[in-house]
Amino acid sequence: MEPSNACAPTRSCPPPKFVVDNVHGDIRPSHLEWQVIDTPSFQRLRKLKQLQMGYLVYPNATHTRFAHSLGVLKVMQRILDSGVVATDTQREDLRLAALLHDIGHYPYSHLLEGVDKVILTEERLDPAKEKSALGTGPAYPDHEDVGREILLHQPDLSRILGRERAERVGHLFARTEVADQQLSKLIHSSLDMDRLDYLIRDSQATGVPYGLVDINYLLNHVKQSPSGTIGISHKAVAAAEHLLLARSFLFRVVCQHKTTYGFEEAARQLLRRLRDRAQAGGEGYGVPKDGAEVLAIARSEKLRTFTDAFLDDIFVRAASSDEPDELIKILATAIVSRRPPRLIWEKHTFRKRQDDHNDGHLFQQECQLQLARLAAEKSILPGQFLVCDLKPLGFESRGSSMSKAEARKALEESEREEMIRVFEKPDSVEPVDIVDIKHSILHEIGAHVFRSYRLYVVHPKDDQDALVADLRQAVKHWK
Amino acid sequence: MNRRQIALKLVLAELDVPATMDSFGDRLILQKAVYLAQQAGIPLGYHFCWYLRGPYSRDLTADAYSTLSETPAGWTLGEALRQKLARLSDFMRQLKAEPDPVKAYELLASVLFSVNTGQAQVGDCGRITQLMRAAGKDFTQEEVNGAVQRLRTHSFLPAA
Repeated sequence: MEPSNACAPTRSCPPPKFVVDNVHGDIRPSHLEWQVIDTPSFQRLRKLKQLQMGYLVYPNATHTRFAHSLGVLKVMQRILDSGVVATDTQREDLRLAALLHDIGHYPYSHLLEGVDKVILTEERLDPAKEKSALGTGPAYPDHEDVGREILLHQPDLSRILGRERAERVGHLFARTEVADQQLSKLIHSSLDMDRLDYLIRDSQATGVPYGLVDINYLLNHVKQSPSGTIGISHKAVAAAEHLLLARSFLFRVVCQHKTTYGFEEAARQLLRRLRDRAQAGGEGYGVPKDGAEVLAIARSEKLRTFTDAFLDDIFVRAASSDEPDELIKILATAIVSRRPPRLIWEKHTFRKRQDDHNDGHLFQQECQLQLARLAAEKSILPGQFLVCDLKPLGFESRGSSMSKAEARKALEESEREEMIRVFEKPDSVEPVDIVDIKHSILHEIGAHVFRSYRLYVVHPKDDQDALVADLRQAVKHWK
Repeated sequence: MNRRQIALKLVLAELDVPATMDSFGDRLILQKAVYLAQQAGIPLGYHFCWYLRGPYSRDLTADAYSTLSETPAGWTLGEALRQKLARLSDFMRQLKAEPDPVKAYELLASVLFSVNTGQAQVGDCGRITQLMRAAGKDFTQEEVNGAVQRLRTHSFLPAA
C-alpha cells in the first residue's frame, strides 16, 4: 500500500508548512511532498546551481535546482487548478513529477552531462587525423534517465513513494508513459511550463530583466482540450510570444555570455580530457568513465556528494602542481583562479536554420588550416584555443529545430512536442502551435535561429593583453 | 557540429538509413532506427520519451535537422562498433524490404520500448498488445507476437 498523503491539521499533525519563494510567493507542498523534499536525495538539489558557471559573471546567480523544483511544483499546481481534468492520483503524480523533474541533474548540470558531445580543439584542427566519434562504453545518460534511476533505487525516495508510485512518477518526468494517452498529452504540454519558473528566477538572480514574463496572465489563461492537451487562451498570445522571445534573449545574454560560456567551454574541454584519461586507465580525479558509472552513482550513497562541489574538487586537483599534463593544468587553473578565457573572434548570425554556409563556418575552416601554426608561433598549446560553435537559439521550442514550413509539413503530432499551443479562437476545440497563428510574431520568425561562433584563448597568466591583441590582429582577416 | 552529431551521421550511414528528413516516413524511420541502434548497444546517448508514434527523442530531431547536410571529415566509429552496426544494418535492410517499413519500425520500436521501460514483461504479449491499444495503436496480437519473436531473434530481447 502506498503511503497516505492525507494529513488533517490536528494536535498530532500540525498545519501544513509552506515555503516563501521570491518568484511565486507561498508554495504549499503536501505532506507527502514534504517527505520527499526532506530526503537527502532531494536536498542534493540545494547543491546544484541552476545557471552552472553563471555565478562567475553574475555574482547573485547562485540559485539552485532546489528552488527551481519547488517553483515548478507551484506552476504545476496552478495548471492543475485551472480546471484541468485529471484523477486525484494523476494530480498527485503530476505534482510529484514537477517536484522531482530535475532530481537526476549532474554536477553543474549540462556541463558534465554533455561530455560525450565535446570535440577537443586538436580534433577540430586536424580533419585528416582519424578519431573516434563514439566511446566504447555506454554514453552518459540524460538527466531524466538518471532521475528515474534515483527514484527507483535510492532508498530514501523509494521508501516514501513506494515502488509503484516511484515507477509512475519516473515515467511521467521522463515522459515514458505508454498506456495513458490523455495523461501523456497532459505531461508533454504541461511539464514544459517549467520555463515559466526558470525564466523569472534566472532573471531575478542575474539582474537581467529580459526574462520577466507575465506568469500570472499566462497561468490564468491555461485551458485543456477534450483530448487532454494543455494550451493557452487566444487572449494570451502576446504573453506567450513574450515568453518565447524572453527565453531566447535570456539564453543569449546570460547562458551564452562571452565570459560564462568561455569558462564553461574550458570546463567541458577539461572534463572530456579527464574522462578520456580515466577510460585509458589514468587519473581522472573521479570523472565518471562512462554512463554505467554515472548510473552506479545514482543508485548508491555517492549520489549525496554528486554535487557542484564534486566538480569543484576535480578542478582544484587538476590545477595542482602535481598534474603532469600542462594543458589540463592550464584549463583547470583558469577556472579555479577565475582567469576568463579571452575572446579573440566572434561572429553572430540570424538566419533560417538550414542556411549554414555563413562566415562562422568559413572561420572554422580557417581555424582548421591556420590555428596550429598560430599556436606554434605564439608558443602556446593548440588546446589553449577554444573553437566554439554555440547551440543555435530558436524561438518556438526548446529542443526542436523545425521551421514553420517543416512543422506544417509534418502533420504528425509526434514532431510538435514542446511547442506552445494556443486556442486560436474562443470556440476552438483543440489548440494549434503558436507558429501556425498568422498574426503571431513567431509565424514570421519561427524559422530563424540566432547563432554565435567564437574563438577564445585560455592562458594561465593574468597579464596577457599584448598576446590577446596580437591574436585578434592575426585572425582579423580569416573570415 | 558536436561529437554526438558527427556520430549520428556516421551511424546512419553505416545502417544505410537515409539521412533525409523530407517526409514523415523518413523522419519516423530515423527516430526508430536510432532507438533500435541504441538498444543494440550503440552509445549515442539520446533520451527517448514516448509520444504518439512510439519512442521519440526531441534532441535527435534537433540534431537531425541541423546536421544531416554536413559531412564530417576524419571521424570514425571504431571497429567494434562498426561490426555491431554491420549486423544491425542487415536487420534494417529486412525492415526496409517490408511492404510497410514505417509500420514495421514503429511496431518493433514501440514493443521494445514498452518492455525496456518496465511497462510490460518480455513474454507477456497480451499485456504489450493491451498497452499498444491504450496508446492508440492498432497492432494486432499476432503482430505483437511476431515483433517479440523478431526482437528475440535479433537479440534485442532475451530468448524465451
